Parts: sequence; C-alpha cells; structure tokens
Amino acid sequence: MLGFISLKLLRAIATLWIVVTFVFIILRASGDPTYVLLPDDTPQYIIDIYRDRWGINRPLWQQYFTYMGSLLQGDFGVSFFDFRPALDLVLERVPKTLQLGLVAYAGGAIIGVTLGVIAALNRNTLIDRATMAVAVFGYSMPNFFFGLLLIIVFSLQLRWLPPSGSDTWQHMVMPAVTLGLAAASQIARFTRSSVLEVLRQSYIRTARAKGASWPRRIRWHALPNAAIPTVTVLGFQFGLMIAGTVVIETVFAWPGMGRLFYQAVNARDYAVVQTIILLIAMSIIVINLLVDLLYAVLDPRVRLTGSN
Amino acid sequence: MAVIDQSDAILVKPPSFVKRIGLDRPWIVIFAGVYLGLVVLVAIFAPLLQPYDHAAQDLFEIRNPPVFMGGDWNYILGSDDLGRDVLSRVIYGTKISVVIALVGTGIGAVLGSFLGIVAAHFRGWVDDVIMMFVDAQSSLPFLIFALAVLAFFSGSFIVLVIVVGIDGWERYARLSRGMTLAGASNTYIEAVKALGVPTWKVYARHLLPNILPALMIQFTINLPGTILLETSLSFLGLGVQPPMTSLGQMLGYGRDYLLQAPWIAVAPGLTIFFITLSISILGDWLRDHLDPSLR
Repeated sequence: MLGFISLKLLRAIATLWIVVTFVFIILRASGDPTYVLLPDDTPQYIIDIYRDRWGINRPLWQQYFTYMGSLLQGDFGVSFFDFRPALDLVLERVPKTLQLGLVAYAGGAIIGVTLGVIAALNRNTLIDRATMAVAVFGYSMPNFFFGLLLIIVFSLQLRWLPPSGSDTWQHMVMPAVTLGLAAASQIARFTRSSVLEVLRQSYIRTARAKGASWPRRIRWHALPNAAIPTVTVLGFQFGLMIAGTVVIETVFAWPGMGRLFYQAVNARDYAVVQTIILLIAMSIIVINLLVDLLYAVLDPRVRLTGSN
Repeated sequence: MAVIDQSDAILVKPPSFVKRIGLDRPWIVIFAGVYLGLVVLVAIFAPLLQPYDHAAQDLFEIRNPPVFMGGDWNYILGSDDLGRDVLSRVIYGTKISVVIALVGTGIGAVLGSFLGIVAAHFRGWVDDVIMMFVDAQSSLPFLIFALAVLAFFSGSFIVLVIVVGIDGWERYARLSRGMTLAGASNTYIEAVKALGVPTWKVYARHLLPNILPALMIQFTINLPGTILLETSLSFLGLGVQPPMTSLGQMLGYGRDYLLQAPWIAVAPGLTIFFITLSISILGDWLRDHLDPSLR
C-alpha cells in the first residue's frame, strides 16, 4: 500500500514538473515580453533596464532555476494590467468557480450515475434507449452552443432567467445545466457500460446459482464492482469540467476563474495565465491522486499488488 | 456462452417498441453517414457552392432574416450584421473546420502511434519517459493549454492546426504501444524476424497492418473532440482569425446579436452539432461492428 501511494505521488510530481516546464518554455519561446508590453518608441536603455529587471538577458538555465525558485516560494508574478500579485487576483475569483463547478459536477455525477445504472438494468428497453439518446445528444452538443440556445429560449424569448451575472440562484441555473450536461452524459454512458460488463461476469451467475435474489445480486454483487471504473471516469470528468468553466463562464459572464483566464489570455497577461494554469494543474493532479487512493480502497487487488 | 446468454435473458426485458420501430436501426446510421458525406462534399466544393464570397459585405442588406423566418431567397439563411451571407459563411466555415479537424486528428494519430511503437520497441527508460508524457497529457484539460499557447503565438494558423493535432495523441500512443507489445510476441512476427527482415520493415509491413483497424476506430472516436476543440478555440476568439472564418468563430460573432439576429449563431451551431452527432453515431456503429470486444 505504501509503495502504491509513493508511486502515485512520484507520478503526480512528475506531471506537475512537466506542466511547470511547459509553461516556462511557452513563456520564453513566445519572444521578448518587452516588445509586447512597452510602447514601440521606448528608448533602448529603458528596454535594457526592464530586460535586466525581469532577468530576460540572463542564460536560459539560470532563468529556469530563478523561475522554479520563485514558484516554490509562492511568487507567481505580477499582473501586467493592474500590478497586483497574480495569485491574489486569481484566488479571489476561485470561490465563484467552485460554487458553479461543484453544483454542476455534483448534479452531473448524481444524475449520470443514476441514469447509467437504470439504463443498464433495463437494457434494450425504452428507458435505456431514451437515456442513451439523451446522452449522445449531451456529449455531441458543443457546450457554448447549448449555452447560447438556453439564453435565446429562457432569457430572450421566455424571459425567465437572467442571461449573465451571478447575484442570485436564478443566475446559476443555466450555466450549471450547461456545464453539467456534458459530464452527466459521459458519466451515464460509462456507468451503463461498466454495469453491463459486470453483469456478464461469472460471479453474478454464481450469485444467482446460490439463490441470491435479483435486488441482492444488483446491490451487493454488481454495483460495488461497477463502481471501480466509474470512479475513474468521475475523476477524469473533473478536469474536463474545469476546462468547461472557461467557456461557460465566458458565455454567461460568470465572474469566476475561467472568465478571468479568458480575459487574461486575450490581454496577454502572462502572469495571470501562468498562475491559473498551474493552479488548475495542481488541483487536477490532487484530484487524480485522490481517485487513485479511492481506487485502492474500492479494489483490494490494487492494494495488494501495488498497481492497476 | 449459452449459459451467459441465458442469464442475460433473465436480466434483460423483451425488446420494446422503440426497437421495433427501429430507432437503433441502420436508418439513423445511414442518415448520419449521408450527412457527413454532404459535409465532406461541401468542404471540397465550397467555392462552387457559395452564393456569395464569405467576406463580402453589403451594408444595405444587414440582418436579413432567413427564408423560413420571413426573409427572401437572396439570403437563404439570412445575413449578418455586416450584410454577409450566412449560408456562404457556413459553407466556407464548414470547409475550414473540417480541414483543421482532419489534418489535426491526422497529426495526432501519426505522432501518437509512432511514439507508442517507439515506446514498445525500446522499452526501458524510453518507454517510461513517453508514458510519463502520456499520463500528463491525459490527466490535464487540454483546452486550457491550447488557449495559453495560442495566446502567446497569436493568430498563427499553422500553430492552431498543430495545437489541435496534439490533442489526443496520447490515446493513439497508449493503443499502439499496447498492441505492439502484444503483437511482438506473436509467432508470425518472430518468424519474419528470424528470416532476417529489417526491423523497420517488420513494423511497417507486418505489425502496422494489424493495428491499423484499431487506430482507425480511435480516429473516429477522437474526431468529434477535435472538432469541438477547434470550434471552442475559435468561439473564444483564439482559433481561426478573420478574414478566414470557421463555424466556431461565426458562433462567437453571432453571440453579440442573439436578440436581433439569432440565426447568425444558430446556423453554424446546428451545423457543428449535427457533424459531431453524426460522427458519434457512426463511430459507435463502427465500433460495434468492427470490434465487438471494445464496446
């Protein structure tokens, strides 16, 4: 078990290192930021001062270590636009994103898993077909287009819900539904196939042979085993959902981290972009780590052999 | 097998009328196939089909509604806020989106399959390093990275295609690595090796043809995601840049006119939706028919 955890921890650190290095390479490969940020007619000696202050004239490996060092100290740089620490700027947007994300994620996961199980247990019936039809619709639908359709119908035609902002619970309905739809569809599809897979196994047949009732077979034999792959897809969906918030928050003008990312990207505010990427990467890596540990709890084979 | 079928028969209720009326029947697959065929034809013959140039403006004809909303036949799908013909733009945008998706998915397929085979061939630390990147790529949301890269290399079409291509490479890598490892222990591979066939030829002539069907299926699975990535990027204003246009970029533009002229956004939106829907339906069908073990 300890070996298993340390292996996963090592892998998480490796992933984080790749992300940090990637961000560094992108920042440096895109050219000299002084050209972007200073006016065209800035005298050369002022450019030199800034190049010196930002350390751009030093060798690349030195810049890399300075960069890593400042990240480790929690220094993520300063926003070029309002000159506040990028980390503060990002952190004050995080609660709004968590609020939206958690509602959408919890809703998507509960609805997805429930529908997936129901569809699998009623395989090839009307319920199954209808659920899967909705699921195919859900993950083929571009989230930004679905959001716009909701705005057209519920804000502009029916005038039931506000199209933008985040003041009341009504503001949250459309963004949460849009964000949750894709997740629910994917989770439903995946849950259905993993339940069907389990029902085919020989131990279900054994359970039936020894006289276990249908509810008992499902509750105690099928579902716990189907939960293992489902947990993986739940973890995976979390990452997709964070990517989704960038689009959804922009569509519905939800003042969260995703919208800040969109604004920072468009304004080329490097420090903010970098901070958000690192923050997102870190949170996803932690979630994946938790999923892996949950996996070990659910599946004794993982615990014993130290690999999956 | 008979025993398993029997236990299934008890769990599964008899087929419903949905099955009888054939919602799972090939007609929906045929419909998807015909639609995709049309999309490909539109993409190939775009310049011939466009009634107007996609960028031509006519400020006397702004925001004309489409035919079915009371407009006239000069602008079948209406015109946008600069008097550009929406139909012409959808045709042109479809072409650009399809080209980016196909080339992009192709880049990912070739790169990923190659790295997967390399990992399986060399094993050891090469394998470890490649798989470390595979893990990193698959655990992080690519859209975020794509947006950052495009922000720093703004406006380059080539960079956009490459970025879209990088998305999904890890799935081909995983697949081809696993299948190469499994295939390399087959007796026919050992036989050609024993005959002294050069290594590259073993891979190109004997192994690749065996893993190609699985890679093709992966291609259809990845394609909708690639299309959604490009359209999302363009929707957010970092993908295809004007005067060029794509379906996603049209949607992003139409977003500002939802009240006065919703057709500007709805026409490209529905086009994207039906493309990804058709590919999903066709992909599912392919998977079930070509490789029942995958499901």
